[in-house]
Amino acid sequence: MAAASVSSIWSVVLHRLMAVIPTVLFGTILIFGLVQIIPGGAAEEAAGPEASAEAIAVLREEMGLNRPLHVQYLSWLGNAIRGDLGRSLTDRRNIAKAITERLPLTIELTVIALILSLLIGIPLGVLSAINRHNRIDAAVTSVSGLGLALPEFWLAMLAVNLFALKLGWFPATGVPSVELGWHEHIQSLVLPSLTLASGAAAAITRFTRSGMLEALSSSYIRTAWALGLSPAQIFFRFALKNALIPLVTVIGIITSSLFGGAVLVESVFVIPGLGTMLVTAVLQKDYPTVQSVALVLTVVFVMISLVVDIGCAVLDPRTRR
Amino acid sequence: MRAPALIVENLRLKLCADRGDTTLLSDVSFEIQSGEIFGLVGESGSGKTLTALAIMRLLPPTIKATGKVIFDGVDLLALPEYQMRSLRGNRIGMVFQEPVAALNPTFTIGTQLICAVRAHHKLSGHKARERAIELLDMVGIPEPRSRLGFYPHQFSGGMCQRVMIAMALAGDARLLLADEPTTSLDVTTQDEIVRLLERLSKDHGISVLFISHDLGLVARLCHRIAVAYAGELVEVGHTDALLQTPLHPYTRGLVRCVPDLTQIGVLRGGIPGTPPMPGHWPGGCRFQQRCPLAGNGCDDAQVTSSLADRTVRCWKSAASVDTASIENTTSPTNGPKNLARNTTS
Repeated sequence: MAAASVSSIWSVVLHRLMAVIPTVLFGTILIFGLVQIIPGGAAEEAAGPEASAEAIAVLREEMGLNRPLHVQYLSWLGNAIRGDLGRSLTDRRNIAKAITERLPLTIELTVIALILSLLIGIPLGVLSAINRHNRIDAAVTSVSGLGLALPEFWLAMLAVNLFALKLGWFPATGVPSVELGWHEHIQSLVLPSLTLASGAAAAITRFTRSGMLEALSSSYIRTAWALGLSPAQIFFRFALKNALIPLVTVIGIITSSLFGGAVLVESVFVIPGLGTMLVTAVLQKDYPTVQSVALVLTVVFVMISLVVDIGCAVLDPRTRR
Repeated sequence: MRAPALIVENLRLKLCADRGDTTLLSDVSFEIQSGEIFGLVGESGSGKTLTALAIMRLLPPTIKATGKVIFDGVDLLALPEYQMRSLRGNRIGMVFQEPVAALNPTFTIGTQLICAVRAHHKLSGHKARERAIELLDMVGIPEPRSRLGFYPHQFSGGMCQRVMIAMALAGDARLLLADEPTTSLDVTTQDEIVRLLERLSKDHGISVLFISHDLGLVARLCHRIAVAYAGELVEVGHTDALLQTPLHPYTRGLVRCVPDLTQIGVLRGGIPGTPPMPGHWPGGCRFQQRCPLAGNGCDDAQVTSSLADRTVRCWKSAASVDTASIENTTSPTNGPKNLARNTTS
């Protein structure tokens, strides 16, 4: 039986992996299409404002923009699969290389923020549910309400002002690379990841609380009490596992939104991640870069939902086939 | 005479809310002898499940219990929670209705059973596992060793109920509270579960409080029966006596409702109306609004009268207990005929 449940988890993994391919393909069509709709052409941007009409026409031909759309799409897709995302219009840099330089920092920031929000959110949510309708619950609920309401960019500015500029505990901007020292590297990530985690921690607190309350009011938890099990075992083992099932889906959505939030937080803290790259590229109408960053983010999101599905299958035996 | 396994004395339950208190159960008293299967019947809302949960001390904190529940010489209602916890699932087991929902969907039944075993016995993992297999075997689950890895959703309702019973008996149960254990099961499975409970009670000397709304089922299984109506026990007596000569008009109505398979096609008379909800109970006899015999004197507080292992909460029937002219009052003369007409029209 144990072997059977392991193999059924792998079959879930396999099924979801198969579903990833059409999702990503559909994403590439959307990204390619949206960039075509944006006014202004890539050739005009690449040639610069003073370029003559002839120069632009030559450039269009060189960049392959005169080819039919589906040919352009397929060649872009083919190159992307081979890892070639083209060159930036503004500084002619290799986009794939730029992304591989910047993506780790964004992932690091997001993952730290996610871990922080789980470490804060799950215990607070459980605490709140166990102490339902008393002062602890009320306190946790109002703090998490605040966390949900405050926008990240505003929190980020407050944090920079207080902890970096006034108290000088953390650097205000930038992230020194790991080679310059782990300590400095981590220290510079504290403020950005905490601000990024604030909203997510609040949301996870709320969802953990409601999931726990639902589990605690269930018939099987009444059974657990009737069996004379200890409260610790009932809360943290039997109720929490059931509360985590809906939470895993929420965590997936939250992780995706953390990537989105990272764009803002990176801008405030001037962190050379994917977020700042995307913002700069949009402002400079650097279409190939925008397209590429969007593609990478799509793949990241799809991977997150893949992990979520596998997480659900591990936690909830009923979803296995 | 055998000592009672459980004595419930004047058990009262009150729901405390901001808008005021509502009485849910008043003056429930009964005894269960050791090794006895004691039935508690009544309609939904009569307080059957509340009685069992009160014995287990598993009621929500908004419901306050007073009175006495004496088990093993101690009053359970006065025990501190940690001592109560060492009794739950150990000396007193409980089985619920809807067995599939009563088991945790995310753990294998083996894990849940081993947890139940280890809650009250300091056993090594291996020994607890062996004990779990033994328990599954005891409740009649075939190939118990391989079934440990099954999840509740891979079992039928009847199998889940067997697992529930095994878990309830994982400690050293002397008393089993079975709250409608067969209600959600089909008739064949119902019969199997009832026979299982009967066998376990006999083999291990376990007393059982069997709660059901099915008088026919209770009659087949139980030595004695208590009939609950609107938060009170209206009649308690030995099964045969109670069924042959029901004294309380409500019991009489219930007995008449049990289908008789020898007379297929004959519609049995029901009891007109519905039981009053808690907070809307009339003063005096709570059955008077539906009682065919209601008249003067029913508005007064009803005292229970006991004679020869029989308790009844009706002043009219009480008089008949005293004069021992049971047969005359129980033959359906004037009232019940109107009753039958009311329900069939």
